[in-house]
Amino acid sequence: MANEQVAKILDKNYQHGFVTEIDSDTLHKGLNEDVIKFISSKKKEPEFLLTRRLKAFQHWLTLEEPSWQSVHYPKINYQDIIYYSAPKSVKEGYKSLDEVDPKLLETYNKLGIPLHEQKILAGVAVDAVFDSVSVATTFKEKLKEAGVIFCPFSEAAQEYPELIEQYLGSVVPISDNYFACLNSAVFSDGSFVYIPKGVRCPMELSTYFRINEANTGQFERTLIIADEGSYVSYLEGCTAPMRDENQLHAAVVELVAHQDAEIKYSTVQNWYPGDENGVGGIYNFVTKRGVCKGARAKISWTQIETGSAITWKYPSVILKGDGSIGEFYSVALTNNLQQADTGTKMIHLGKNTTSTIISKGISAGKSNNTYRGLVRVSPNAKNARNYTQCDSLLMGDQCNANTYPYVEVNNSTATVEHEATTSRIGEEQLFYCRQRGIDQEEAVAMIVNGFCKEVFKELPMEFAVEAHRLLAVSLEGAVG
Amino acid sequence: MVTTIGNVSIGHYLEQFSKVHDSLPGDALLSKMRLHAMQNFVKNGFPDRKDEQWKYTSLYSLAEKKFQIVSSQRAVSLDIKPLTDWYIFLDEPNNYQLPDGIILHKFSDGLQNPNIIKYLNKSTVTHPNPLLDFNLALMSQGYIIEVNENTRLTAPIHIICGSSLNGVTTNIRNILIVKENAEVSFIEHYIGDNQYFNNITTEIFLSRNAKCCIDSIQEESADGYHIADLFVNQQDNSHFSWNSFSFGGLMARNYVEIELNSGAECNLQGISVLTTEQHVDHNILITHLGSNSSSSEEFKGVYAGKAHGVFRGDIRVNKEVKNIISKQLNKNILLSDSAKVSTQPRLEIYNNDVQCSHGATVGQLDKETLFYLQTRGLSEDSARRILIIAFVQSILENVNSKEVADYLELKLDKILLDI
Repeated sequence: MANEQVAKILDKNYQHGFVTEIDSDTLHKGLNEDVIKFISSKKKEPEFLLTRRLKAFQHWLTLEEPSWQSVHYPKINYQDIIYYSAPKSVKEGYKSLDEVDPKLLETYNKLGIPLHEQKILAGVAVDAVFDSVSVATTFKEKLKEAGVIFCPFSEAAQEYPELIEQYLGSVVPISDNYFACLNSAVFSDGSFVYIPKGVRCPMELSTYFRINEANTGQFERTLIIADEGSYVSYLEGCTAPMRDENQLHAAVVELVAHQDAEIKYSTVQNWYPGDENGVGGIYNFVTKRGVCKGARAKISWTQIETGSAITWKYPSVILKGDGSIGEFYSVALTNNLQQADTGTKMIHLGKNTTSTIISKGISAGKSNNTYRGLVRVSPNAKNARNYTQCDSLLMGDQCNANTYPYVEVNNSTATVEHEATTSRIGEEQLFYCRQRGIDQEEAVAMIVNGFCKEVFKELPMEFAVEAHRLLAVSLEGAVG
Repeated sequence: MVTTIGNVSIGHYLEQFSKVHDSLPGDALLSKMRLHAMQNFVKNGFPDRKDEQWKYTSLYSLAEKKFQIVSSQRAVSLDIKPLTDWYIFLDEPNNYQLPDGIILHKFSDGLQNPNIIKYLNKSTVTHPNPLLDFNLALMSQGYIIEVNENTRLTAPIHIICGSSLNGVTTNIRNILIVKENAEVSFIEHYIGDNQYFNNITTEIFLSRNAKCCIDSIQEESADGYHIADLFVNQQDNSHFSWNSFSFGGLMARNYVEIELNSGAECNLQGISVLTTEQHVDHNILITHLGSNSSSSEEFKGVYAGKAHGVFRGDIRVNKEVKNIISKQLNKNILLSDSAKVSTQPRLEIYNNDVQCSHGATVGQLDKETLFYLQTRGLSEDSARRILIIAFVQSILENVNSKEVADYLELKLDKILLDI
């Protein structure tokens, strides 16, 4: 396939690049203890959270920004970021969607989240985070009946401080890494989920994050706790407007699965990737980690990463409980000058723990796509089992695909397998499709979708449709 | 990169260096190079585990020891018999009977010879390493061999490096230049007794259409340190194969860096069988510089006792090269709960005209197969031995010379009796 054809296919336009014009209650640029105190008081947080934030900030000052990753970006000026921004029209405690600023709802509609329709059709409860404040939470009542807590993080901090105090930082401690530490100090909002013992969450929970205000960094904090024997499926979608400057997004997601509980966490990340010259775009530096605390717990990460100028994250699972299961399914597509350094860590601590890693990287244009993963089997993890497959598809001769797996096995009863391939789209596959009457563009889309099939099938219905659509959009633009 | 380990021994080595510096072989220019290299070594120290290249291999115990610098090790007290008619003992620079077309330079002469000097330290080093400086500063022994155009050998040349002196370090520098259309094979054999530190740097230059095969048998003493760096520059359509057999050493590290030009091919294979508190590290970087080049790697490890096996394979495919095939495989068996494996099969691809794959597995002997063999009347021990031999068989099959194959079979039998 000629390179210009590939270039044409990949010449997509960012469809979510609009800015919502509303007044924001925005803090001045810069970071110091006063800013943190301001955020904390604005959120009416309990004392322990402020103490924690300040402790994190002090620790952050001692840290150096990491440089080992294979992504490159100009040095971030942390004093040039706005750490708190909330739409002014947001009042506390909406009872129904009708009270929400229509402009906000319009924004979500453009993104294709049917807030109204969801009630009837999709059965998806959405905690929509607009910059730093949650604007609307649907389905609260229904979830309340089941005993499920699903609310903005700031609300949880006020209403369930004992849960927050117990679990916050139990998976990603303050000192974990540079960006997680920064997040611990300045996180603005996010989602909190608690599923009580034995409850199967009656619907799929979903949060749509959106960075709107210029020059704001978004620092969400998500905490999901699944108590014994419970089940929850959580969806996260991300888009951001088109801007020339780069924006930082440093979120932390913590999952705790107790005995026999299961958490399924799916992400479709479509932050603005910058234009074809690499101007603008989101720096998506996120720490995501789950711990399978009890026996037979299960955590499953599924991610479709098509956006962001830089994606740099490793959703991980600590398999502590005996017989616990960790899964990671990922599709990372990079185009133009996008960079992605993503993968997972599976830390086997308990006996009979199993993990599966399926990672599909697609790099096109002049992009840089790296898989980096760790599978560690500790001496006590008897009969641990891991299977890893990471495949890369290269489109065009300017892009780059790297695979850096780390496998550390410390006991003789473990079985670990790793395999990886890197190649371009097979000429023979293309020829076969053409010969059956399928045009080049459709054939490429079909092959790419087939390449990602193993991951797509792990997504909940709604997201699977969106993921297909996203890839199709990426591949739009006629191949002769 | 300034490290914290070995601060005591570095001073010791500097002091020793100042004593032997004037007596080391080479002209004034080389003498200057040695001095500069030693300064670099003192400045940077031993690499520590913060260096990604040394993530799983700690030099702490090596850096804490103070070895005496000697110009040559001794093989005399060891029971070694050459496997072929053509052989060289590194510690005895005699006039060996070698086939036509093979020129063996005396080490000190070679370092004065402009035809050799132009190859010295000319290999591409992607990951600079202070032990390379240490080697350049102190190199005093090694084989310097030129192979003339169109030379064809019918049997391999056995190069023996025996070490029997206790508490010493020897810096060995090997230079092998294979000219156009020549076809040669060598058996490189490291064997020893007592505690010592062999720091070996080998530079190989293959001209167009040259073919070279090296079987490297590493049977260093169970207390010995073996740090070996191998650099191979392959010109168009040349062919290189390297079979690494690691059985010995308290700590053995093999760093291999290969550059492939158009149409060049390399096959690297290895078997590591470790039984006690041993450590072996294979760290391999293959760079595809030219189109139509291909590489394959297959390394298998069997680890018992408290052994630790490390593998890191890097494959790089540069921009603008076409039609690259590259395969990498690392398989490991753990026989005890205290043994461990760390493996990193890595790919860096800057091009789409490639077919690259890598794989790694860590596991144990299959219980059902073991049981099956026992139902046929075999003892558990012999069933295990059969399965281990079967596991490494795919590599043994590719060993060209019968002498080496027979030797390895005996060696493996002997080791496996202890497992």
